[in-house]
Amino acid sequence: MTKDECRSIFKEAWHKAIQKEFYPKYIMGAHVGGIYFLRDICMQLFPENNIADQLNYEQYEKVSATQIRATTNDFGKLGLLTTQFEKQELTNVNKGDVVFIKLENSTLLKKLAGKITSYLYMGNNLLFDINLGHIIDWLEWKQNGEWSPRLLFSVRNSGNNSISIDGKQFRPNGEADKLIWDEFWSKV
Amino acid sequence: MSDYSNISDTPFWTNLGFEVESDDKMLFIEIWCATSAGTKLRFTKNSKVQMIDFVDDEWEGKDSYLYSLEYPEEGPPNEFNIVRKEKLLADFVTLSEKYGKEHFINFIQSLYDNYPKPDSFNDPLDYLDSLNPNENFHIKWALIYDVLYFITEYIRIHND
Repeated sequence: MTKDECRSIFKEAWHKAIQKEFYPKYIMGAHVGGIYFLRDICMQLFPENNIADQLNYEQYEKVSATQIRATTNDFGKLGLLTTQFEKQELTNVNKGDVVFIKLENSTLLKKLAGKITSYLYMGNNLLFDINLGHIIDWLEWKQNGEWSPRLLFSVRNSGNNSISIDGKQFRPNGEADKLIWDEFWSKV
Repeated sequence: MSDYSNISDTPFWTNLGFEVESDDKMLFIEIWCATSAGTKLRFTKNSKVQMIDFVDDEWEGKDSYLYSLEYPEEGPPNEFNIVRKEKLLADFVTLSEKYGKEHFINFIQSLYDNYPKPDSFNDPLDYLDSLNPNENFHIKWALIYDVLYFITEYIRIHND
């Protein structure tokens, strides 16, 4: 996979994801750009026998994934591994993993709808906002006294899942897919 | 502002060679990123959001801040929002130079004019306001609003 091929895949997924943000179904709902970004990368890397674009993400936008009881079950079926952060450090996180952060200043934020937000990990302590519009450096951001952010957990695609529809799978699935997935993110 | 106030300064931009990209998809991405980078820290106790419900109750500057909202001409200028607005408009100028001013203006005007809205509304900003009648602060709504608002600001100032 060349750098140009990776950029083309990234750009296409990025553009579609921002369109989902700019033209939302639920304007007062949750950011879902990151979900659609990862979904489109899945479909571009594994266009055959892949149900990633058939899954319904509407409830995540309407309610926010962190408030849906079924999320844990969904993660399990999709082969997404959840790991709690024991320290406020981005260790054991790979590029392309989703990182969940809680904002803890209750006074400032008590009137906001959501206090848990998510980012895509981009390596070197850098986090891509789930609206796919800016990058923050965790080493600096974690010292923000107003937002008081705290790392909760990360979610990683294991490449080993059980979900299928009409014989088709959710990909990446299996070692060969995982190698392609990891190669893509190694170029980012 | 953000640690990387310009998306083109981030490591992944260089790693993937995005500097060679300059089509309309990229322009849309860069407009979104310029606005998002300026919005990230918008909601703090030092931010002027014109909604007193969101002021930090324990902030020592609360009273003078509320006074400045009630009497904006007598209150102190809100430096954060001034800096933020100047940075965003400067970013739009940079994009207009990269993509060509005429093309940039046509693109953002089209983005604005074609934003989906019911027939009962002529202006997309009026439509967005109608979706948030209680002026609740919502980061997703605010980001879309900012993109459209700064389009009108850029055109008002720079479309000679």
